Amino acid sequence: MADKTLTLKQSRALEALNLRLGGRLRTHLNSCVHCGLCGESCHYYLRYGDPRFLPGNKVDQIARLYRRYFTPQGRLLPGWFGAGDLNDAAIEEMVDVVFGGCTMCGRCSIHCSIGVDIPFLVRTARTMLHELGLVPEGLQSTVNAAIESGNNMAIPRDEMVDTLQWLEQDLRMEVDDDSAGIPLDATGKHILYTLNPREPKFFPLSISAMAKIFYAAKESWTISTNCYDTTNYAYFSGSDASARELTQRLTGEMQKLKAGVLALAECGHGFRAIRWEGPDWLGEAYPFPVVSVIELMAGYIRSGRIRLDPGRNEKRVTLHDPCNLVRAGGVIEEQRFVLEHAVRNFVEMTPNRENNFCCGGGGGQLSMGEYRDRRVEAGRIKADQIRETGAKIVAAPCHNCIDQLMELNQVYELGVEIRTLAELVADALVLKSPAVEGS
Amino acid sequence: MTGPHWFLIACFAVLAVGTRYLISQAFPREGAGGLAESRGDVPRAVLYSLISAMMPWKKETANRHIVSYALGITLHIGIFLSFLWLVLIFFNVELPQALIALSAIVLALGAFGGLLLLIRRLTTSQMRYLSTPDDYFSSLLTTGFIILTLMVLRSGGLKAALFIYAGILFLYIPVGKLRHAIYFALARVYLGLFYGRRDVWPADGRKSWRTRP
Amino acid sequence: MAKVEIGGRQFDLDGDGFLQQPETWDEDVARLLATTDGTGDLTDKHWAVIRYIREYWKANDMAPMVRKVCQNSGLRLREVYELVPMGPAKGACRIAGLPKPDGCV
Repeated sequence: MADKTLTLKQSRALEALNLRLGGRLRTHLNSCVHCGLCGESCHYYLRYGDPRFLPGNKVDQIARLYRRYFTPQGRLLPGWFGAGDLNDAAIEEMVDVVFGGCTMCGRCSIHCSIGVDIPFLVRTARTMLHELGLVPEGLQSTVNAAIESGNNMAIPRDEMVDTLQWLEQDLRMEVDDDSAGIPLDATGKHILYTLNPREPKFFPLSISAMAKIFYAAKESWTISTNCYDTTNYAYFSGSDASARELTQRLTGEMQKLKAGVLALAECGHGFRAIRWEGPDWLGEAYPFPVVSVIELMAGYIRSGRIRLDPGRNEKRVTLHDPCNLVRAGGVIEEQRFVLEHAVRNFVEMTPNRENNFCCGGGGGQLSMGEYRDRRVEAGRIKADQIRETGAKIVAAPCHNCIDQLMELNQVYELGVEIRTLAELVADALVLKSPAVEGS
Repeated sequence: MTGPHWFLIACFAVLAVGTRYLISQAFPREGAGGLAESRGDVPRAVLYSLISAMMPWKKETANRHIVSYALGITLHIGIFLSFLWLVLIFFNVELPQALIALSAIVLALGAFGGLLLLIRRLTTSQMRYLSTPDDYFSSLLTTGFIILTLMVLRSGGLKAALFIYAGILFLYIPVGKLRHAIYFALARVYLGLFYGRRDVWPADGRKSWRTRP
Repeated sequence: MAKVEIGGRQFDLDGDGFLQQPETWDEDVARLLATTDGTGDLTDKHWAVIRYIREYWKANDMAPMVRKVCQNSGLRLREVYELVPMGPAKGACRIAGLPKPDGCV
């Protein structure tokens, strides 16, 4: 690959592709037939009708480079085979399409005529752009904050502790029990619970809700104040080195605190990154199980460790399926099981589960302000889905989706509340046993 | 055995070697599904990926584009039938007239499908945006193959032309977009492994299109 | 990049509507930004939140925890959410002229 027209960074980007050219990547790079039927499965294409947003064109952003630099026919007859040079124009389109026009939601792959794993190719394209230093600033800065400070909002440890202690006081008052608590940095607990930094920073009600549920379930749990971040924005930015570093910190904390299970807050990409991608970044399986807190809640309900009164949630509730939790994470029925026990009136959106539409905020879009208008426009599909249910509450088991849904709620005047699953469960919790209540 | 016979055999040998090479490269270097602990029924998911997930009611690329989908199916049936006839003609297998007549109808439909899809590729803006010369050429090459097979069946002649044409087609498969014939099943398997380990597939019976009650 | 204009002065906003030059903020800007996200007219309670966030940011170069906002404004958490429908980050911090925080906001 000694191409003299390439800059050093461009060569490094191609080397990043070369290093990853295993059987799976090669297969997906070679499979698209340009059938052009995928557009209607993509929320960007549906809203804009712009061929740049065709999933097939997202594939081509990287496949044309593969053909040009890694296949003999693409080298000999690039124009004929749709092979393209890695030059400034190609890179500009690549950034616009793979960062600015895709949430890596994977809906197109489920529906692809062939079965091309399009988000996998888009992530690999992002890895190349990372080598070129072209990750959008807001996204890169979120990765940097996590690497440098230990959490993606750069929350200082003392402020984190202060907030959690404040929440603990509230919890004690609410359940009227001074033994209730939010155990910090405790060793030997069953569960190490991790958070999305946006919870302690701006939206702590979900932490309170989860603490109350753990209290009711008499769970043995703790939060680390040193290492608690569920997010992994390096999954979005394409940096495998940073993704590995962030994963290693969590596995290290699990060992340090001798916890049994790593439980992740309601965070779609965090679940995907840690549960499913992390072992590949580390090069080995984890010695402990990783679960979503949704699976924990479902387990508590199933085993009778918590009791819920759905009568306490009377309003109609619909459920948003976060792409990375559901379509790419496999947590599909648990949240439905939880809602059926926690609320009186639950209605599905259409379509749902692995066929859901992305809220529009995935793929790191929330951190890339330059594409904000596209994000909100592409989110109109989700807004329409919500409106159609007639629900007053949208349960969204992903803090990233919640933020996007809050914005859609405001822009499209949906008049709904957006809540985590834990908040709805906490509201429905019956704390005292029936015998005590009756006496 | 005439010259065109040998040409076809030689081209087929090249295709076989090329296919073997591409498949060897497409095999996983290491664990195909990743290192995370699986939570699903992977073999069933792979089967689902290859069969159920391809059903038109499961795929928007089919059910939102029912005409294109139907044309695509007829084109592919036409191509496969042409390959079958190529073998029969190559080995001089005699078949009843009724079967030939029926084949001719299916081939005509396939050629019709191929031509309409080519027209669609040429006339819709988003298709032109995606398409490369290779896409147009592959479309022509396969549709032409069906038409030529049809002509051989109708006339009884042109066999030498068919062998040479098929040989060129064989040579082109591994380099152009037709190589999806080689990669298609692999892509389905990889996707089945991915969704299977994560327990997203098989999705039989899951009511993900359910409208609200 | 959008621009807003108040009294002949122009302000650049980023894609999310945050001020590009946070130092150019003043209370007129805040009132204008509050009209665009459903916050509406700014009351004394709003100002208590906004001024605290602004002061904290000037001293610490980051947005305060919402816990601090409650502590210093005397407001309950739920009141803060009612005041700024877009939440403390995209609502209050934006109106207070801070740059957009990192993370899932």
